[in-house]
Amino acid sequence: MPRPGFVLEIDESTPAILSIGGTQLQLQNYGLGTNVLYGADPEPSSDPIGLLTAAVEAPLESESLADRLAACKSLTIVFGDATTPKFPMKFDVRRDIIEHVLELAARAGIDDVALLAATGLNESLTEPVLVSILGDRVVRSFAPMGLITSHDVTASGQVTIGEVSTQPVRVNERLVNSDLVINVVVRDSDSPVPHHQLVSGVCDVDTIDYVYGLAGLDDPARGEAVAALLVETLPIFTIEAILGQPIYDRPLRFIGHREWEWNLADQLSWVAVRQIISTAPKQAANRLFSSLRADYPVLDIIAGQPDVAETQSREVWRAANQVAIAAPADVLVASVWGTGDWADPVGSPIAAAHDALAVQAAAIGGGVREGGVLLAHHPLPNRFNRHNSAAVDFFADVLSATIDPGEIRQHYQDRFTSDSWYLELYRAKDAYHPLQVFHQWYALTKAQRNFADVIWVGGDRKSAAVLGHRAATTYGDAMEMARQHVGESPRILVKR
Amino acid sequence: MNRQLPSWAAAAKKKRRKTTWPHDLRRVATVFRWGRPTPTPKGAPKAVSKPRSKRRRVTANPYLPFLHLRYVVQVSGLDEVAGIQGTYVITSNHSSLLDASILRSALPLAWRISTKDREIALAAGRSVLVFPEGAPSPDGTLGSFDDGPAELASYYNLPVVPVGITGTFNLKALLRIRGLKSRPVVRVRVGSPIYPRSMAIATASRQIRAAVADLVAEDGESWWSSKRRTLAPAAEAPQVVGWRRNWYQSGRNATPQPARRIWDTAASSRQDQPGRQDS
Repeated sequence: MPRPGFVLEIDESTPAILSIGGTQLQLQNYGLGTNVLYGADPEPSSDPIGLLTAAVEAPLESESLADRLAACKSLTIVFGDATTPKFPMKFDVRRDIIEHVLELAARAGIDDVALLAATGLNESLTEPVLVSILGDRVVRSFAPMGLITSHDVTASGQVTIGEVSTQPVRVNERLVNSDLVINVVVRDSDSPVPHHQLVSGVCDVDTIDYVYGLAGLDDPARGEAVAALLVETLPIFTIEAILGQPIYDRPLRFIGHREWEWNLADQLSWVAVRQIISTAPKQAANRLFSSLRADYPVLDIIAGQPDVAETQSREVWRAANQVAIAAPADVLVASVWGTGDWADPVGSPIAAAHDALAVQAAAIGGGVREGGVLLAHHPLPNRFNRHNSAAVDFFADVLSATIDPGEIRQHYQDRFTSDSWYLELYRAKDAYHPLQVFHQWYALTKAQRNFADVIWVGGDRKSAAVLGHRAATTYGDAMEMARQHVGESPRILVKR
Repeated sequence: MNRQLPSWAAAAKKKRRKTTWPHDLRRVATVFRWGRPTPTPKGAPKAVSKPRSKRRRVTANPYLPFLHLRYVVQVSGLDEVAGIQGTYVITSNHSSLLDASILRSALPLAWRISTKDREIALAAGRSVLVFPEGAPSPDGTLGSFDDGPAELASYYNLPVVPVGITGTFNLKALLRIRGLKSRPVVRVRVGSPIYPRSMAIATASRQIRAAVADLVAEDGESWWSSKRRTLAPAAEAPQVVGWRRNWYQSGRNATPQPARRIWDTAASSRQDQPGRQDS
């Protein structure tokens, strides 16, 4: 039985708490009375293959997978990209799931099998990424014949499956022509992951903008309606692996340990990693963090009808990972790291702001009061992933003119999304779709409404000013700046 | 529309490289007292055991290069076992008396493979290598399997790791032939583990044999096409026996010939390359 997550109140005996900003690792003295939120301890997987076999033999509200495959001539397996979970899996459970499904498909004598990566607005998957997700065997069997593809949201051959409030919903043609669509999902948060994977991953650009665009963010019913249409129209069978907390690989293993339980090896690793990052060129630090892999315990595998599987998997995730917060805090302190991709583990200012506001603060939900302050540790370097040239121009040109999402939507979105150069990069050069950075901005500005101020500890002042935020050199300075909103003795919650 | 940023909001200067270790070591000495137990803060649950991944990557056998002096050994599929910790019942096809020694030298050292007393080896946490065909195959084809690996794995609740070894049929005789211009190639393929605990012994044995047959057949086709052929209803693998077995083995597995002289015609040069005969 692993230890559950808990909230620790700092007293005289508590050692300094680790904070991470980009690649900077610091032991921070947060002050007496500060609450620190620790996640549950990871529990080693007991029998993932047994869980998988049981899940597909007795799925929820569906015939067994073998029976479904017996009546199937054309099979499509949909899987997510490398953005979930946040740190790449050392042993990707999706490979085991997909190999098992393919074995069953082979037994059923299905010839027409294809794999579709639900990449949506993200970059298409390169071969090394595919191998890391699917393994050698699957890639060698299907990639040479062009049977593993990444979804192109701008492709012309997409098929309309219905309408939601006059908005036509178009999806990848392969899904419509399949007798069975198996949606392979990994859950690392309490969000509607399987539906999100389909809506944001395999629909056309207009549908994605309808759901995740400026208007869609304030109207969650849109996403639910599109997901319901997909489930109703397509023969979807979901297989969902619920992950526990990550166990980080060497040399950053100490990150996952609680500070008072650090042994000498953890402490010396911390000293060594800090010195290497401080002395070595930034490429070396990037390399260290981009090579980080985590071993995720598989808590459960749930298969069956998409809606039922999703409800149950969310319950399992909450039971294993959720931590109760007694009272809402005035100040939320977040460590922002690993927001970029493999090539850029530090993350751009927009990616960092999105992670702090739209991911971490949103996950805390009611744990922070309205009108509170967000303090985030990140250096905010003005550096962008080379696969996201639209974000570079967005940061330099659009945000220097306005940060108002309404104005940005009105004056810039269409110009960017119809730019043939960005679209060519998206289609041919594994770049992000230009709409992706707009959606990130809408999501983070929506999350920002709950906060009176956002202050970046150790952040670049110019980048913070461009985002409409503020920067402070140290945590103490940041608290000094936050005092005008939260008073002299605020309730502070640190997300460890 | 143009935002005016505050004049003091300048971009950060390039950070100077600094020495952090003396200060950090002092902290380790004073705050953590060189790794001595730090009291658990009030309200924090006590440690049961430190979370640690017990799963390891599988690394190749360091003795593998020595095998290459006489023949080329190619090992693939170790990734299939990555992340699964412990002891395995390694089950392979059997084409030659050299199979056991080649497999012990080719498969990861960390598996600590034993071919002798199985019960003692398993109790000591070592993996065991089992040839369920009994004796080496007289014609190089896959024979029938006994229930040994399935019973052993079921009794000890261990995974069976199927292994397909090709290129060893008549290998001893091949090695005695002098003047061969290319070294024989032996291929070792590791498949996904099978857990017989939850199955009937006969079913598990059938599955193990099918897995080994797939790995042996993967020589000329992909994993998916071999699965399709062996698992699909009414599928039957083509039988190749006698001298054709050697012919097939040497044709596919021989190392590439040295470059042909430039006046050889392209057609003759293509035909002379053994790897291309079947294409």
